Amino acid sequence: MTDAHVAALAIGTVLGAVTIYAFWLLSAMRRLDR
Amino acid sequence: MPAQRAMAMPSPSPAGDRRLIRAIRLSGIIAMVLLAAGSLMAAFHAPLLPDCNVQPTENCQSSPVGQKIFYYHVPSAFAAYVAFIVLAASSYLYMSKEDERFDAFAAAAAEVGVLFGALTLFTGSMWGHLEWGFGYWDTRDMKLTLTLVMVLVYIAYLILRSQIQDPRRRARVAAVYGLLGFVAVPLSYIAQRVWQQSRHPVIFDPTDSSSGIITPGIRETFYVSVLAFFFLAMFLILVRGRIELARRLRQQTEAAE
Repeated sequence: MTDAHVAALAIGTVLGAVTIYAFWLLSAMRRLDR
Repeated sequence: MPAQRAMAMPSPSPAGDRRLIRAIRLSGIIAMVLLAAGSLMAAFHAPLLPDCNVQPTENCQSSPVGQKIFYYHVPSAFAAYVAFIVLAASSYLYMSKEDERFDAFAAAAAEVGVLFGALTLFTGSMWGHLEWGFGYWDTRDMKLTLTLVMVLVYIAYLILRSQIQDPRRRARVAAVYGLLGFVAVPLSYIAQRVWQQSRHPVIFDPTDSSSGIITPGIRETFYVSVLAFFFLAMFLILVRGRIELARRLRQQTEAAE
């Protein structure tokens, strides 16, 4: 793994985790509003 | 007599809920725009610092590409601190006003704070791997250890909440724990300033010319990323808090029927 791969893994994890969590919360909120 | 005492929750006003939805939308849009701008700036605008193997200067990096993690690692830590401050403030407000809405937002802030805290530890480990060498973890390095302790304190907070069934008791115990556990937050922030032997760099030091963020290009990218993560944390706390409130209201309505 090169330095660029490690950096991409770290940055991708942050962006991926917050995106999945945000969509999960938004869908839960929509379900409760129904 | 019911085993669990229901906690009186103020009936939500439609105007209050509309205000909350408006705040969620606004913080979400601002976070999305700033996150996109910060990511583009980190990729294309921020310059690479000199490579220590080629040009050993004061602010050189062993891995110039790895330094890009900085634009996500420090804002994640900042977002975790913001969430834990919201948690402590909500805990204090719950204890003084006994309003269940504050307890709901304290629980929401804890979950968001643990997420950002875990991301801080993960990105920090990745950066440390590139900058300090494979498998570096020094337990005497107070910055690293105290940040891990801070995240563990709030994981314990979430476990504690899940183990108490009585809502009123859970809210009270969690509020006390939330206030006591907050001690870990300033300790984690000041660690590398107090314990000088820490290898973790000091980010906000206006007197130190090598503290990194003074370099043009890096400075504005860093501030955009910090702002993006601040609004992202607020957005997630507001959405999670609203879900918690709606869930409790539904349980109360079902219990009354």
